[in-house]
Parts: sequence; C-alpha cells; structure tokens
Amino acid sequence: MAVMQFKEALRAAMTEEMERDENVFLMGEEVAEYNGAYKVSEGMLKQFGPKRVIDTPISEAAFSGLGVGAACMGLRPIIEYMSWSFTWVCIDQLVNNAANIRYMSGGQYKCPVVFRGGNGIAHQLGATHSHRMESVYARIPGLIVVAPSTPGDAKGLLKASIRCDDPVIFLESEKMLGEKGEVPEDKDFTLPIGVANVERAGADVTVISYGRPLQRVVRPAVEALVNDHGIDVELIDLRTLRPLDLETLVASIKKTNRCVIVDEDWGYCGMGAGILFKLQKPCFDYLDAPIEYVHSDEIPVPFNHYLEEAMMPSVDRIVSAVKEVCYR
Amino acid sequence: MPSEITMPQLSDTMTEGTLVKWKKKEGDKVASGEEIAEVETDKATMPMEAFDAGTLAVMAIAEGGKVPVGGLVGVIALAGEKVDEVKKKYAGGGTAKPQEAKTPVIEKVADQQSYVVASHGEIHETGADMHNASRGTEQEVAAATAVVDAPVVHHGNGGGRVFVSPLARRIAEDKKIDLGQLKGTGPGGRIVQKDVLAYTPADNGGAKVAAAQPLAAPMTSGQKTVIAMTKMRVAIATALQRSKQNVPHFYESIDIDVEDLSKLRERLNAKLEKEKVRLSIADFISKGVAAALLRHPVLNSRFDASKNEVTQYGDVNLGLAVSIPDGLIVPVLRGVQGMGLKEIRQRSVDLYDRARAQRLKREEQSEATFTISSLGSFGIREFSAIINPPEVGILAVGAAEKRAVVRGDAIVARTMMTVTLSCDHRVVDGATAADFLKTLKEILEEPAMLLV
Amino acid sequence: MVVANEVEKRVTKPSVKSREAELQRLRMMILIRRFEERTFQEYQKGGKIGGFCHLYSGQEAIAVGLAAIYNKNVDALVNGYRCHGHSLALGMSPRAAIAELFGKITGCSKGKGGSMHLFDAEVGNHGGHGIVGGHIPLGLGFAFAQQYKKNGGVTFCLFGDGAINQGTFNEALNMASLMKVPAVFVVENNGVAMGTQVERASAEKDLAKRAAGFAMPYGHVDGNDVDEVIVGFGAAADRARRGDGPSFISADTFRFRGHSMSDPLKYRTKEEQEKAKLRDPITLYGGRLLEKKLVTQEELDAMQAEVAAEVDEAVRQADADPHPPLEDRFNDVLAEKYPYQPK
Repeated sequence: MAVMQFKEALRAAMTEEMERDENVFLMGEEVAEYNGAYKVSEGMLKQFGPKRVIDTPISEAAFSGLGVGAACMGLRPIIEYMSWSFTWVCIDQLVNNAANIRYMSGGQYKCPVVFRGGNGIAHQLGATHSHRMESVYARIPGLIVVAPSTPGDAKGLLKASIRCDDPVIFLESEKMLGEKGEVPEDKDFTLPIGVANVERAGADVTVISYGRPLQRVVRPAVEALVNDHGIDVELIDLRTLRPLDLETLVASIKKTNRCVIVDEDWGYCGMGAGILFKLQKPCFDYLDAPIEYVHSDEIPVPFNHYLEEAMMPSVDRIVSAVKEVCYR
Repeated sequence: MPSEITMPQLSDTMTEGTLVKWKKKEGDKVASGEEIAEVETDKATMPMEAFDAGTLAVMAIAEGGKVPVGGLVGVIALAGEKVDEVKKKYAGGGTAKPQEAKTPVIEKVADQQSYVVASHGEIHETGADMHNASRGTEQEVAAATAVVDAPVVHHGNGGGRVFVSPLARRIAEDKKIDLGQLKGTGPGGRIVQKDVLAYTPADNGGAKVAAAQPLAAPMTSGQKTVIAMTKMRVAIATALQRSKQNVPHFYESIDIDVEDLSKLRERLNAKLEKEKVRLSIADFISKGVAAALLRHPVLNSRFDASKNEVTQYGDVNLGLAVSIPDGLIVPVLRGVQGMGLKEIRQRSVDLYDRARAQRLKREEQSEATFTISSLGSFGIREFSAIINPPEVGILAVGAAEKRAVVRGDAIVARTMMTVTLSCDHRVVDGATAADFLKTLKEILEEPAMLLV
Repeated sequence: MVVANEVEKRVTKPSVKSREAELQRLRMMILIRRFEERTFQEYQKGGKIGGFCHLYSGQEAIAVGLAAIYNKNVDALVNGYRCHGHSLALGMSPRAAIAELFGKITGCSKGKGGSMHLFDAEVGNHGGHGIVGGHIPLGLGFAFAQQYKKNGGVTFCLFGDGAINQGTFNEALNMASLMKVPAVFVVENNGVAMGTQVERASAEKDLAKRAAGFAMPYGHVDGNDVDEVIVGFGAAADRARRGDGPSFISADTFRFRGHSMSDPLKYRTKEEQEKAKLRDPITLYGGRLLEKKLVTQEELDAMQAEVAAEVDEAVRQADADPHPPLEDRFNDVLAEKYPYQPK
C-alpha cells in the first residue's frame, strides 16, 4: 500500500493499463502538453509520446465520437473531459453511439471506451459547470456508470473500467483529486464493477451514497450518528451506479429496516430517485419507515459560496434524515 | 353506528375472558344495562351488560370461546339500523354465521365446533387448519382491525384506517398480533416496528413506548429453533474454553474517578471539532493503559507455557474487543505508546469499522500484548473478562457514570468507572496486578500524568 | 456474427477494372434500385416495415463507385440513415437487408436496428446511423484507429447535405485534418435536406468549399456517374492511404423518392423530376456499357429479370422468417456479464 492522491491513483491506473496494453490511449483537452487541466495526466506524454497521449481541440462531440469509433475497431480509448458538465454538447455520442451501437447492430461490436472526468459541484463554478451527470447517464441501457469515493477505489475501478469491454462513464470530482488515501500498488489490483462496498456494517439504518457526496458529507455524518447519537449506521458505497448492486442494498435494508439515500443530484428524477424506485418493492415489507432521500435543492447551482453550500446536502441534513427514519 | 360489545377489563390482571354463556340470542331486543352474557375472568364469573339498547345482531363468539380484553364479543344494531346489514358488515358478506367470519384472531376448533381467540403469545392447538385460519389475507386483517379496534384510541389519522409500517405489519402478522390493539408512536400515529415488538397483551391498546433498542423478536410459546454454530462461533467457543480451562485466572477491580478526565475530554473535543475528531473515554483508557503497561512490563507480555518463557515487549499492541453480530473480534492497535489521543481515535475507529465489516487483515488481529474489553456503552457497571492467551492480562472496563462517592466527609456526585483486571497467575502475581491498577488509576484520575 | 474488433482478415479485394467488374457494378445499381422500389411497395402494404424508411433510388452510383475502390480487409464505411444501397454494394445479402427492414431475426442486426441501422461489421460497414451528423465523429474514430494500427485502411464517412450544418461535421473535419487521419468525407448532395433546399440551409452554396476552413483538399464528383465516383473517391482514398490526410468530396446527385416514405415531394416540380430522370445513373452507365459493346440489350434485359427474381426471392424468404423471440430483447445490450471482475 502506498499513500497517494486521488489524481495520482487515476494516473497510476492509466499508466499501468497503457503499459499493459498498447491499444489503450488517452485523449482529451489539455491532457498532453499542458500535463492535464487538473494534472491527472502529468508526465504521461513524456512516458508514452504523442501517439498515445493526445491533445484535442475544444470539440467534445468529435473526440467523444472518436473514442467510440476507435473502440469499435478494437482500441481502448480513455477520453478525458475537463468537466462532465461539458458533455451536454456531445451527449449524442455517448447515449446514441456508445450505448446503442452494440445493441442496434445485433451484437456486432464491443465498445471498450472509458469516458472520465470531474462530475458535480466543484465549488463556485456556477450553474453551467456544476452538473451532476450521474442520473443522466445511469438511466441509459448500454452504459456502465462508475463513481469512486477513495483513491484506492479510483485506481481499482479505473483499471477494471479500462479492461471492461463496455463503454464506461467514470465520474470523478475536481474537489477530490487532492484527497489522499491508501492505494494498492499491485499492477493486477482491480475492483469489480457492479459491486457495492459495505463500508461500515451496522444494524440500525442503511445509508447509501457514492463518490463526492460520500467523501464530503456522508462519512462525517455517519461518524456523528455513531458517536454522538448512538445510531449504528450501515454505510454502503455504491461504487457502480449502473448496473446497480441491488442485491447488496436489499440485503442491508432487510437487516436494518431503514434507509437513507444521499447524493448531490436534484431530487426529482435524480440518481437517488432512481435507486429508490429499484428498492421500494423488494424492501417494502421490511421497511419500518419511508426511505429518505437527501439531495440538493432543486435550483440551478448558485455561484455564491454560501448559497452553493446551502443548496447541497449537509451533515446536519443527513443526521436529521437518519434520525427521522429511526424515529429518534 | 352499531354498538360493539367488547370484552371488558374486569380486573387489572385480566388479559382475556371466556364467554361462558349467552343470555340472549341473535335478533333479541336488548335494553341498555341488560345482562346479555356471562363472562369468566381469571378470578370470577361476571355478568356482562349491554351499554346501548337495540337488537343483538352479531354473536361474534360461541359459548366457551376466549376473547382478549377489548376484543369483539358481539354487536347491537341500534334503533333505525337494519339487523341484516349490521350482520353482513361484521360477517364478511353474510355467507357465514357471525362466528365463522375468518379473522386472524378467531380460530376454529375443528373437532369441537367452538371457537377460541388466540391472543399474542398464546396459540391454542386447535386443529389442522389453525395455521391457515390464523394467517388471513390482507383484507381480512383490515377487516379484523376494523372490528376489534373499537376501544383503541386513534391518533388523528381519521377514517379509522390503521397506519402501520410495512415491516410492523409483517411482524404483527407473523406474531399474530392484532394491529388494532396497538398504539402507534410513529409520525401521525403510524404503528412501527418497535410498537409491535413492545406489545404485550395486557397493554390493551395503550401500548407502552418501547425501549430505545429494538428487541429481537421473541419466540412464541411451543416454538423452538435449532441454530448451527457458525465457524466463527465455534472458533470463539474453542479458544475461550481452552483459556478458561488452562489459564489460572484471578481478578482485581478498582474504581476510578474520571470526572476530570471527562471534562478534559469535552474541552479537547471542542477544540477538535473543526477536524471532525471526537475523542471518547475509551481513547483515554487506551492511552492510560499503554502508559501503565510500560511501567509494569510484566503485564505487557506473552507467555509460552511449552517453553516456560515470558516475552515482554517495549511496544504496546492493544487488542480492542469488538462485538459483531453473533461473535466478537479483536483488532490490534499497534504501537499505542507512541500515539497521541487523536491518532488513537482515528486508528481505533478505522479498526472498529473494518472489524464490523469483517474486513480486517490477519496481521491486524494478531500479536496483541494486552487486551481491553469494554461494555460501558451497555451500561454494565463491572464485569470480568477471559484472557486471550498467550497474553497474560485483559482489562474489563465498565460504564463511566455519576455515582455518589465520599470525598473528605461529604458525599458528592462524581463520574466513576470500575475496571477489572484478569491476570494469568502463572506469570502475574496479585501485588503486581494491584500496582498496575494503581498506576492506571493515577493516570486516569490526573490525566496530566499522561504528560509525565 | 463476427464481432468487428476481432476481425483480423477480411475476405475480398477491391474490384479491378474489367468487363466482369463493370457488369457487376451495373448489376449492383440495378439491384439497389429494385430493392428500394420493392421496399417502397412493401412499406406501402402496411404493417411490414415500421418506422422511418429512406430510399436511395437515384443515388446508386455513389455507393457502387465507393464499393469499387473499397478494401474489405481494412477499409471502413460509416453512413447516415439512407444506408440500404451502400450495405448491398458492400456485399450484404438482399435477404439480410430486407429482413432487417421487416425486423426479423435473420436481419443483419437481428431485427434490432431497422432500416436506418444496417450494420455489417465483417466488411467494415459500420452502419447506418439515425441521428443526422451524429456519426461523423465515429468516422473520425475509425480513421484514427486505422492510423493508430497502421493497417493501411481508409474510412469513408458519408452523410447528406443536411448533416454538414451540424456541429459534429465541423468538429470532426477539423480534427481529422489536424490529425491527418486516413478519411474520405463525402457529402451526398442530393440538393435537399428533407424539404429544405441547400440554398436555404447553407450560406456557402458550394458545399465542397466548406472544407476550406479545415485546410482540407476538396472537390466535386458527379454522383450520378459511377466512373467519376471511382476516380474521385479513388484519388482521395489513395491520398489518405499515403498518409497525406483526409479529403472532402461533394458527390452531387438527385434522389428520386421523397426524403422518407411520408414525403410527397411537394417541394419538387415535375420538370425537375423529369430532368433528373434523364441523368438516371443506371441509364447513364448502362448506356455507356452498351455503347462500348460490353453488354447487349438482351443481356441487360436478362440481368434486370434475374435481379428482380433475386430481390423477390429475398423478400419472400424474409417474409417467412421469424421475428426475434421476445426474450432476445435483453441480449446484446452489454458485452460483459455483471458483476464484472477483470481477469
């Protein structure tokens, strides 16, 4: 185990996979000569040269589609977005081309492409740059959606995503890139896609989250609940948003009889709303309280620091939601 | 509204009554206050009177049948109400006699053609179809609820519908508890899991608020369950039996005043709030025990009986016993002597979490030099623990609580804690153990000693 | 079905100029026409072909000219939704094509793609694509992969005159030129995007010139003349194969049918239609072969009859073919089984 930053873990994953398979390449805005807008790909141009670490113009549609086409011809592209918010301009490439080509050709293609970049609210970037795209992509059959919450998970999941033969939407957070954690150095270390992680076992209530919100507010909230309120929380990190590991979630709720979902999406048609839909029937007879969903306020993301902070789930909001479902 | 006649509570110990004899039959006119039946309680046979005048429309119970307090016995159609309609309403469509209406609480005694009422915890062996009869469909449950909930005070939900969480409904069905007997403590009077679990038949609708911890579902009378031990359970059983049989344990207890330490903890926590670190008493104990062990290395050791060798250690590797469902696990916090309280806190929490998730590595569960077990959070005042060989000592920590203690000549309230040290007498003597406890007491009563 | 990524060797070599090859081209144009007109009939019967259906009648020379220089081992084609003709020209059987239109399990995409989404990965025919211009970045990707693998292949990325007004056209052609990928971008300019004439949609009336902004060589070919298409596309493909980068060609043509089945062609005058018919690619090429005495009228008639019979037989078979079983709808969504643990 080495202690690394999230971005170093991502870089390690990409570097190891590029060393392992010459069909893997990295493409995106500022990934090469600038060493990455957020320095995720720092040094990779030097190591792999311009054939495999490739700068693009600001043309998300073109280089997203390029990734899909190249993947259909047997390459394994890693396409980096400076922000997932920018994919609104190229979403057709992802939801029509990447997700559909296998199905509508009757299985003639594999599409092993990874699209990755920062997702969600990354502090004072305003309404246009703060989109939480998970619910947009997690509803698309044909796509895989992965959201790591620790540097170690980031490495294991990114390596699995690169090796996976399906198109993977890989959601990071600009705010997490400097986060440090233990990361296995084993080059064969991967984590399974489609398996949630029971991060903390508990008996009283199941808290479900993923990615940035898990790291930002859910872990501190769980600590407060356990230490200050005596509530024995079972915390589940989804890790993969599509396909959802329903089995783990349902088993947990059958045990705790209570559930709170936390994300930073908007509530209506949000990621948590989709998860809730999947849970309500298999868990119905085991629930002692309605499932709570803690999400962001349903407003465009404000620029002002305090307004932005206020719109997002907080430790307090999570604590009160958990207490509510526990009838405390 | 027809008038429902329910089983009255005729004594404070009465939970159910037997309808001994009907004095009226269906269709008979009944005057207010008129005796309609005889009821036998645990103490006597008493007359049962009608409150309202009208016509006896429904006889819900046959003679000899038992009804819980508050359960339906019969229905009187009031002036202007049609007897047939009332009958129909209570008889599930009028195709059956009133007694035969299937509800979860009424069971048919196949061979006697009489009826008994099963109340919670008391299932009468009444024939092959008992199970089916007692399950009831959801509609039947609802119907039964509507019938029996007359004496229950409803909680502002209007319309007489019983609001109940799906889990509570399922448990109630399994345990054959009539939801109408329960008072919900959830929002809007919703009956939730703890209400069902806390229910006892004597509650008569005024269910007590359950204990904060949900209780395991009690088994019903006559039921038995054979549970195969898990591998972990077998391992625990073997290890502890071996220890208790082979290691000559002795025990010493001491009371420690942790009033100052508690205050210190609050002050430190206020300062650490920004870092989201919250120290617990247990962290101070770990720290104190480590310091005391360094001064009494006899206890910070491992004993190899086959070689008659004791190895003492300069590092304190503390085993921290953690309970997990159906077992316990002892992660090891290594090198505690060099750690500050914050580090102890963070590393212990990490170990606890991963221990509960059963994600500890092997090396994180081995090579302890001493172990601490705490049941303070359960309110246990004091207890003794079994040594985990080859260690030679284990400290059992009770709850920190306000106790009346004598200081000088005054009785004052102080936060006190009792700890009990179990020692392996082959290695440790009574005086050595006492010395160790004395040091520990000094450190924890004067936390600044940690600096010394 | 062979998965495209796994295709190492493909089967045929590009056609050479010979009597046989020329007759083959004529025959293919006739086949495409017959197929499309028969499709028109089948569509109008109702209940057989659902959804959108865009016919290629009148533009056959472009698909057939392309096929003549296409190397099935290494080249790639990616196309808009008017894709029946190209698929047939690259060797898809009429039965697999019409069965796909019928949604049958024997269709090239097992009934899951339909008229707009004919795929034949084995020969590098990477599909018909339903979103106008949405596939142009895919073409960039295929060409990028050919360059990355250095396999000598060229990607032909075809689209209509409507698609060039999409952002994807501009993004993809710019990047293609920057990266010098081996691509030939072709606008099949039939003069009208559904009902909107080029003059009403593009400020630059000469569509080929749009490539000037990307520093990409460009030009026109007569899209109704197979020989011209072969020369024009061939030059662009050679350039790409040499590593000199992409080109842009406006293949000017005319479609005889409406945009799709529901289009009554009200935006066209009868005169325009009649004039266009005089330049019917089949008549042009057939006349040329007759003139060169490579074929007799009798042989031509026989060819017509033979093709008609072939298409009729394909339709008959496809008609009789089964629909995919209902449980098949869950297949081919993803390549891996989940949970997925890499080996």
